[in-house]
Amino acid sequence: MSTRHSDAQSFSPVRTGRLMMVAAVVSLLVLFSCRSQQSGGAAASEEQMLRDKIATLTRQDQILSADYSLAKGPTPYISLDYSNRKIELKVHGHPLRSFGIARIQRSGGAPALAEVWTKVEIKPLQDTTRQKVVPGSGEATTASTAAKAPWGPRSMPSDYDVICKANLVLEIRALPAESRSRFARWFVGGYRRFSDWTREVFGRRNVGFHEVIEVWMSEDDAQLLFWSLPKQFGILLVNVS
Amino acid sequence: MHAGKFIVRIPAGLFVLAVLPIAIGCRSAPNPQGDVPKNERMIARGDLAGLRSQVRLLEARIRRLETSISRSYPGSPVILIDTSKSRIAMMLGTRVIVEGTCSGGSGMELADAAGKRTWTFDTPRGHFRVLGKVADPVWIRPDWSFIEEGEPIPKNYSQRAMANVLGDYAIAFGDGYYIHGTLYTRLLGSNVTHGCIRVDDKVLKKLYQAAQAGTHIWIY
Repeated sequence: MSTRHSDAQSFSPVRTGRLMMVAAVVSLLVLFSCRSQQSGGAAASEEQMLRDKIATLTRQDQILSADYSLAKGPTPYISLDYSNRKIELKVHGHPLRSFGIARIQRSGGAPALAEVWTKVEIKPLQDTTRQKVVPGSGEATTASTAAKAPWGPRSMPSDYDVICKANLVLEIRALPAESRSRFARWFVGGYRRFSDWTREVFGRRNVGFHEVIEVWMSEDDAQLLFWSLPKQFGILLVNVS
Repeated sequence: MHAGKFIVRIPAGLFVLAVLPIAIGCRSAPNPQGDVPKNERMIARGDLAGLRSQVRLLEARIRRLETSISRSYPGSPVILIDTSKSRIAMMLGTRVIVEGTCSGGSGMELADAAGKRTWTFDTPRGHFRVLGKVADPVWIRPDWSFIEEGEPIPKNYSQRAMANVLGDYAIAFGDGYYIHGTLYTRLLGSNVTHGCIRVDDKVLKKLYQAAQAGTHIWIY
C-alpha cells in the first residue's frame, strides 16, 4: 500500500512538472552559456576584422598623406611604386607619364610604406651633345639644321643619379632599347653592367649615401623620364606590399 | 508500475537528451578565428565601439584626403604641353578644349664671338602660369637673335622691335618665354625654337581666347 502510495507520488503530475522545470532550467543555462560563448567568438571575430581594417586604412592614410604633401602643390612630381614596379610623373595626383620598372633594388631592403624625397641635383653618367648654332647663319638655316637632327628624348642620357636631400639617391639605369638588335642589346647591357661594376670597384659609385635605390628601366623610358623632369621636384616612394 | 514510471519520465529525459547534444555541439563548435580565450568572451562593448569609431575616423580622413587631392587639380582650363610628342592641349578636366601640334626648343647652343656669353635654346619643364597675353605682338629681339643673324647688336632699344614674326597673338609664361605663332609652319612638330612654344594660327587663336592670366601651364 505504502509502495503503491509512493509510486502514486512519484507519478504525480507535480513531481513530473518539477522534473521538467529542472530540466528546462538546466537546458536554458547550457544554452545561455553556449550563446555567451558564441557571442564571445563573434565579438573576437569582429574585433579581428576591425583591427585588420584599421591596419589597411592606416596604410592607405599614410600613402595618401604622403601623396597629398606633393599633390597639393602645382610642381610635377615622381611617384615610384616599389611593389607594382611603376614610375609616374604626376601633377596634382594625375599621371602625365607612366613607365614600367624592369628591376629595382634598395640598399637596406624594401622601403617604408610611403616616403617623400626631395631632389637636389641630377648627375647624368653620359654627356649630352648639343649642336652649335653658327653665328651669322640666320634663324631659317638654324631651324632647318635643328629639324634634320631633332632634339628630343633620344638625345637625353639614359643613366643618371637623382641626388636627393638627406643623403638619398635614386639611380636610374637603362636596359638596352627593344628597337636595337639582339647583339646590340646584349653588348650594350653588358657594357652598362661592366661600367656600373667599375664605378663600384673604383669608388665612383654612390657610396656614403644613406639610402640608394637602383631602378632599371628601358632605355627609351629612362631617356623620356629625364627629358620630362622639371628643375625641382619631389619623389614619392610607395611600397604597398 | 515500473513501466508507468518509465513512461512518465520520458518527456523529461527526451528533453534533456535533445538539448544536451546541441549544447555540447555549441561548446565544441570550431571558431573561425581559432580557439577563443576565455577572457575574449569578455571583450567589452566599449572596445568594439572604439574600434568601429577608429574605422569611421580613418575612412572619413581618407575620403577627405582623396577629395583634397582630386580638388587640388584646377577646375579651370589648363594648358598641357608634351614636348616629346610636340603636342599642346588645353583641357578642362578630361575634356579637350583645343589641341594641336607645337614646336619647342631646339636644344642648340650659341656663343658670341668672344665666347663670353652662351645661350642654350631649351624649353623649360615644369609648372608655369599665363602671365599675360598680347594681340599683334611685337618681338623685342634679344642679343642672341642679332648674333644668330650676324648683325651688330643695336644700342637703340627701338631697333630691337620687330613686328609680324610672332603670329597674331602671344601668351607669356615667364622668363621671356611665350606661346606664339610662327612663319615656319612647315617646321611645326619639330623642336626648332629658341625655347618658346610655337603653334599654328588656328590653335593659337583658341588658346588666346580661352587662356586667362593665371591659367596653369604644365610642360613635360
